[in-house]
Amino acid sequence: MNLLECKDLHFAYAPKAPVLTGLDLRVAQGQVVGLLGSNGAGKTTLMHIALGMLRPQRGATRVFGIDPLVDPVQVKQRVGFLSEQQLLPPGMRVRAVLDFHRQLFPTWDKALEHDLLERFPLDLRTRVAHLSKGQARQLGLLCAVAHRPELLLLDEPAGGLDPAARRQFLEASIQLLNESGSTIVFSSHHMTDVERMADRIVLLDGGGLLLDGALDELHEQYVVAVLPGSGANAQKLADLHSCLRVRRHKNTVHAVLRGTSEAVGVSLARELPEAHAACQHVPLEELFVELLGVDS
Amino acid sequence: MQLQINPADAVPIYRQIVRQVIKAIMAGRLEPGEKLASHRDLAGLLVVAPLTVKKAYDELEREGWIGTRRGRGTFVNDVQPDIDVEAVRQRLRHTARQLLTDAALADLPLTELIELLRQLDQETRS
Amino acid sequence: MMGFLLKNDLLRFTVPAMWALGLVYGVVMADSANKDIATGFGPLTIDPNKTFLEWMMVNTVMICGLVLGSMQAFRVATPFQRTLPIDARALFWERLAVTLAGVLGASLLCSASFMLNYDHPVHPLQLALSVNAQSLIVLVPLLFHSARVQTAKGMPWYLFAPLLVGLVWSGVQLGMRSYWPATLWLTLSAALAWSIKKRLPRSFVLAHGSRNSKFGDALSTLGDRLCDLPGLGPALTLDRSLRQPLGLNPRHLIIFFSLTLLLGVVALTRSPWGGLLAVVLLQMAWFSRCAIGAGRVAHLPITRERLFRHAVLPGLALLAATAVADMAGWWTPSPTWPALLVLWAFTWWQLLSLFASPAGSLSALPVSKLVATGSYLIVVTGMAFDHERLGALARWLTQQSPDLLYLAAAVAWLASVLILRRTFLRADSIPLTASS
Repeated sequence: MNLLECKDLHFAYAPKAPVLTGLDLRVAQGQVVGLLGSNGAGKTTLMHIALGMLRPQRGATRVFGIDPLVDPVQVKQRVGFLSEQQLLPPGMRVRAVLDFHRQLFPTWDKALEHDLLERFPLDLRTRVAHLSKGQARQLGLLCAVAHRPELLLLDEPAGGLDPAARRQFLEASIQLLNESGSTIVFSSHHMTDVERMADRIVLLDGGGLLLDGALDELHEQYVVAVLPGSGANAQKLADLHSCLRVRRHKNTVHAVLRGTSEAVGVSLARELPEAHAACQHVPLEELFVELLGVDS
Repeated sequence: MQLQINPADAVPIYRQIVRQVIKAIMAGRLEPGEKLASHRDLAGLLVVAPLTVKKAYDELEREGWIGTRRGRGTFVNDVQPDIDVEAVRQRLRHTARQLLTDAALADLPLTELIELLRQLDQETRS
Repeated sequence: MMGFLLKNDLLRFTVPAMWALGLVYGVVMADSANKDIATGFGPLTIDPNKTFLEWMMVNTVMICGLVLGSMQAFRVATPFQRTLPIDARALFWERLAVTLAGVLGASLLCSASFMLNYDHPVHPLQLALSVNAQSLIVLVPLLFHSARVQTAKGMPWYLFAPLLVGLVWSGVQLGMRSYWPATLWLTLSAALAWSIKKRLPRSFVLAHGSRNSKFGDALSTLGDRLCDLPGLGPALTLDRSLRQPLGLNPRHLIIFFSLTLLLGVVALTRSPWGGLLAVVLLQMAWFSRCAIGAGRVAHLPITRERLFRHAVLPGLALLAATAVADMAGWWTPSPTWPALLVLWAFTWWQLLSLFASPAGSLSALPVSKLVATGSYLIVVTGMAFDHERLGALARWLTQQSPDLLYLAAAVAWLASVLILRRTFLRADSIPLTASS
């Protein structure tokens, strides 16, 4: 069953600034989806729409088969959400925050709550405003997962955290994955974290999906080709059927092409025999930069 | 078992795990019949998604390096599979082509490349 | 419904406090009217011969405040609440219930206590109408809100209800030749309409929470500031099944309730000094919060010294000035009743905001400062009308046209507030000292 389904989503905050233009997305149970995209691509917007916090101008969303605009309470009880911004009331103490959440979610697991409290660790008497950023995030994560949600939405969960805090966060998330095998959709700019956790990558760009595939396939099915720069080369590359994006640098041309490096190497040798094209599989970060970066 | 994974590498994490396990077995660091960590434990240790580890283990099992016994765990097989020389040859061909292209871009002559290989071979043997 | 109300801890404190205030207000106004304390020209006093109209003039100011405050009800949920499985509908009905209980009850008690304390006969219907008119005007948009009708653009038509009501009311005022209230009401309706059109976003999802609008933010943070005594306790409201107020510190409620009682006791003893003291103390507390809030927003270090300088000193100065004036025989501090009135209005607003305010929005500090400085000015203006020389000016203005006085007061208020606002918001005007 698809836990999250979006069909032809259109959303704009202001009439002249559309964020999502016809997005289709399906997340099945057990998947860990890394939601990537530049700032403003619509990752947060998508999550907010899934929670029923925003009403799309066009299109339909279903979470657990329910429309979040029709029955938001049901949806929110089964979804765990960690927002990018600090939403917790600054004056509340940690204990009060936990009490508050415990009462709202019937499926709250006290054992897990205690376990995570010890792991992090968080002092119950501290006020939210006095927590460090990392601790506040941890508290947010605790509130998001302690009720054993079927779907977990994490919006930049490790944003602004130092590497140690990020690692701690990852460890907690991996532990959760180990225990409950929940479905996770998380957005992140840290590609190394995405590589560790995700098994599926969704790249948002220009209001829609630019890439959607298994992480390992992305590694093995996309290559970056580097050629000495010339206008003609760039144009020929762009015309290739398997080419997704061409970027021009000072002396070189970078292109993202679909296919294994052998196949692409062969086809490039055929199409552009004079240019010595070096093509290779790249880490996710490189792919991301190549696909979304601007010409320099 | 010491495994190092680099998430920023072009090689997918599961394949890094596969390669390192194979290397460990071939170098004797993993004995035949030795028990491997469960995929959940390894996932926690390496801080990667448990499915990734599972995928690696599945591939290793498919190629015949390890085997799972219900209820007991995952163990290194007593009998190692034959190395598929042809597959290795293909991979090396491809890597070699990469090397040559990189060298050509930097205008490095073939002789220098061969010298480099010789040097590295000496270092590995010693 | 009753069972649900009684379970609400918030109600146990807030509604009785509102009723107590209404009662006090009635007594205060009756007393003021009996003694004919002010010259009758002050904008905040009552001329018994014009009970209905004067009541309306005073109430119009408060009505506008209340309706603007009721706009908060349209912001059904804060960003925090919207991520949680809280039924927005239940939240809204709960707020409506509390508003009804508090405002209507307070209005009725106010009318009753006025009638009991006023020496001259008053037509009860007239009085009841005038006092309760404000409640009705608050409730009308809220009732429309409950209808939850949405246009194709997603913007509910009933958001324009306050505007409609405002227009109708201005017409009524014009018909009764109360030009000042009519102007005020028209201006406010226009401002409301403009805010709704411009500031509220297109994808306004009412029942399921809206995106933050600066205007709504401003209002709710004003509420925050007003009820924000030591510590920051956000006032979230109850889920029907819960017994504890969500995130609201009961200590704050107790403090607020006690201060309200103090005010009531002081008013009932009819001691002008006591009244002034109460006013000044509350203003100081309020102003301190604004100063702290200003520091937080402008990232200035808030020190006890700065707090003293900007909050405590003005209050003490006001007190000292009044004492000196009284001793010199210039004027007696009887115009504390208008001051109490102002305070009551803002307390009312505070109460309304108390259970509708969000958690942690920052942007409205300038508004709260406006209100704080404005209230000071109104107090001073009210006092000035009894001053021999300044009173002469007031009387002269009134002779030209009754409404001119009020307009002058309003203009003076706005001007000073804008000037003071710039002073407060400019970082370099507040001397930096080492944080304590």
